[in-house]
Amino acid sequence: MPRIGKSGSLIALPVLAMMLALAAACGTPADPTPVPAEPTTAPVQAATPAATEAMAAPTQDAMMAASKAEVAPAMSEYWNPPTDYYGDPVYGGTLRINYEDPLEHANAWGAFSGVTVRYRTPTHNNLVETDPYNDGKIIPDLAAGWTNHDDGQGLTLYFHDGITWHNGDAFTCEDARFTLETMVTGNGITASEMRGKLSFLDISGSSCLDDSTLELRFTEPSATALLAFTDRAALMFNKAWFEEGGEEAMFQDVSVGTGPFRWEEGQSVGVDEQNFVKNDNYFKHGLPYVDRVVVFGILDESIQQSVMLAHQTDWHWVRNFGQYDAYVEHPQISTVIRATRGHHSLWLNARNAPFDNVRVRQAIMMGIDRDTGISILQAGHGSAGFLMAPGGPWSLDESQGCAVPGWCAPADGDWDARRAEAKSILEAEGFDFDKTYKFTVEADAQVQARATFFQEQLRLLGVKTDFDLVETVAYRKQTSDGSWGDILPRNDTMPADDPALGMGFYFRCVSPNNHWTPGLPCDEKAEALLDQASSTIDQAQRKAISDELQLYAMEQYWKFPLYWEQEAVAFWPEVRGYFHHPQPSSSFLRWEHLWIDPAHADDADKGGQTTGVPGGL
Amino acid sequence: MRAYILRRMALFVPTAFGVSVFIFLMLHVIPGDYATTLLLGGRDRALVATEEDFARVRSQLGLDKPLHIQYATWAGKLLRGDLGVSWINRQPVLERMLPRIAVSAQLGLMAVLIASIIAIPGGVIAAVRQDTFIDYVLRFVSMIFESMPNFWIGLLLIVGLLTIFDWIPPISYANLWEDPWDNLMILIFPAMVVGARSSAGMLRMTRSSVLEALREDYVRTAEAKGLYRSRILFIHVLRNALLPVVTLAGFEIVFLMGGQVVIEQVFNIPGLGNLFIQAVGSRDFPVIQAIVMFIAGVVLLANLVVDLMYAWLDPRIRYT
Repeated sequence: MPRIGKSGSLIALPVLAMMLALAAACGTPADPTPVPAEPTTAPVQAATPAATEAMAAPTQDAMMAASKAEVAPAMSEYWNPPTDYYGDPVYGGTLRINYEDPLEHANAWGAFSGVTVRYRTPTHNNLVETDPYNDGKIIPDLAAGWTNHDDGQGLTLYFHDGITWHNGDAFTCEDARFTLETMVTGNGITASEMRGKLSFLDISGSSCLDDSTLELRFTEPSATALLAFTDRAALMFNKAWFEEGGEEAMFQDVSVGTGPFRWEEGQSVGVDEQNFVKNDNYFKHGLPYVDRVVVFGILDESIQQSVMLAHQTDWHWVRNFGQYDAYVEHPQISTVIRATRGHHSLWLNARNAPFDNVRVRQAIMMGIDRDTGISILQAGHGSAGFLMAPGGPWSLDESQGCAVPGWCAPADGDWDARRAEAKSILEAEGFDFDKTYKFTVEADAQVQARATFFQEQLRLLGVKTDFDLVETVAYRKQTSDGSWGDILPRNDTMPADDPALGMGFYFRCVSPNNHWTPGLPCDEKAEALLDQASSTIDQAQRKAISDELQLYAMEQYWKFPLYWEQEAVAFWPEVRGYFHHPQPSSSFLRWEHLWIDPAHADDADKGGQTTGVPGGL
Repeated sequence: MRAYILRRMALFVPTAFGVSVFIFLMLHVIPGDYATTLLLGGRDRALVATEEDFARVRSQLGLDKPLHIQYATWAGKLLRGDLGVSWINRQPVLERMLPRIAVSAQLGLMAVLIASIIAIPGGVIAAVRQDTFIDYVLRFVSMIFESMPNFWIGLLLIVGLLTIFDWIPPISYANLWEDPWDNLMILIFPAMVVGARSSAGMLRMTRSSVLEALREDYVRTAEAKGLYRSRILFIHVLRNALLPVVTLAGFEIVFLMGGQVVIEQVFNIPGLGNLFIQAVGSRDFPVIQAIVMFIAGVVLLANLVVDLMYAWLDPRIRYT
């Protein structure tokens, strides 16, 4: 694909200046500057401790009287590209994205997956989004601003003016309300990925006050509503489009969105090269920066890497450790290694004796050498961490976490002594070393390999286990109803980096992902802390609750992450605007935050790797 | 001749039936189903997938019906030319397959052409220069190509191009009729890889056949008559020697339909093989079944065409 060259930039600049002057003269609302401002100011809600803005929390009466002008911040207040490192944004060019998935379908509801994201995030918007330049901060997307209801059980969203769908129709509040309603109540194959994540929504009590104001009510106080709306599956759809096309449209038609890019005409889903062109009517004036995004789905890992090294793609979301090295060694490619929410963990079945004894669980976990696991199973690419993603805003201070026995490696590295201590605990608790314990393992080569590591670690403790290999469907059933054996290794992914949504996903008594609770009384302390985490809005208080909950769950040893996974992002030097984002969300994949600067195409000092942001931002 | 063709075509029916039953059963005895892929494809899906969801999806797709009913439904539609709808994206299977068939066919034809260009002259030279240095080299090279899997050769070629020229074939597919040069750049390398492997067997077959023909009495007679060596070789020897080579080339086309599956993935060619791998990964049964049935049909047709070409190449052959 042709990209704008240096000469192209020289031509484009005066043209851009002329357009600006023309726009000003004609009085059009269009503003093609990189960070245009809207004339009003208002606070932006913060969702994590990383954000510092004050919450807008008027009384409900005051909220009803509030106008958009009072709550919507100017774009320049929240859209701040890291220009100190990258220089000013440049318009034009083509961004070519290298993905490993076949681009099979675009169903963001019933069959949502990473593949769907490739189609839908460039073309659609969320209600709000996480700042692509600032980890964790929630900024406007379709909603220009919002107010929290005084009782904590509601939210009023005020949409931007002039939002249009790619087919020319005007976006209205009803589109958003209908989308949320379908997500929560929709049946058929189109039942939404978001159904569980929006369980706090009281759909019947929610309504459009007018075409640009949506009042949402919750079934209970929720501090995580805004975060849920940033989910990569929480994209808003056109009601008329869906009612006309139904499920077929959801699978195959990407032509009607509000996003920064339009699906180029004449394409069909299922083809492993998809082209998206700039939406000139995008409601975020001045965005996106690039004219075109091309997304490739490349199944073969060697070809993914070759295509990137041959510079036929500009950006690669890398999952394979072997590929990290090739990029790190390349003088022009920046490689950023980052932790993810994916982790591999060991569960002990507290429903079965002797694993109902917390001391036994503690001793078992104490015997697991996580550093060796990371070295063997992940080629060194993994983080030990605790129960929240390492390096994220909710991660526990290491000194606090390591104070819980067994969660950190012995300071002196003496694993023989550690295992002897663990064994003595087991003996003191009357652990039956002659018994062979049931190790339920999903019949999957990768899980089996990891389970073998656990089995060997347990053998070093003197604990005998036998694998019970279970086919996927039966495995899911056993983990849902608690009928699995004594020990369970699992690939887990925390759905959100948030104490309520993240730890609640595993430790809520009724959660289908809490594998030991079926048939057991709920743990009252965990439930109470999760309730607090769900309803407390003050970020400092939430962090304190999160820490307390995390430490409590660690002391219970229900679940023990062997390691947290890492992945890398690799990109060529002309790709600008990347901010290290440990927890990718919609905004990260919308591509409106990146620009191509041909002046940097020959930069040759980008080799090496960083676990932070390029340039140390 | 007509009776022979009809008889051969009649054989198509039980063969196709056997293939269809086999592939249907194979797909349905492996653990898991599409409902699992759909509802548990993403790790987070465990949050929302319930037993009711599984039951509903299976009911909507007809997976809750007895196996023989599922087969009869599918086979009935197949006979009416309805290949069904992809479970993955709801597109008609035929619509998904057609553009990819064209790509795979072009790749296959280019590969056979390259194989023939390498194998026939190479085989003749090896035969004429039997037991010389050039014969040994050609046989050695052909053995190497035959021994190495073509996906491995493909990977070596890509790494080689990248390392030496800092270039690989374009990843962005170009249609033959819209951009023939780019199309050639994209397909020539996989065609060379597939063709090189196919050429190995054809070269050795050509060599053997030519050697055999060279020892025939009619060749000695032609030489005694004082005909030019080239005329003997190309007019008398080659025409007779090509018969088994054509048979082998026919089988190569058949092999290529299956053998291209991996090479299309290696070179990211949007052909039938690539679609097949995607469909297997996502358990898109209608697509898998349609592709396998299509390949089976091509195999049967190729066999028929090869048989019929015998008569053209060797007038002594008569069909009864």
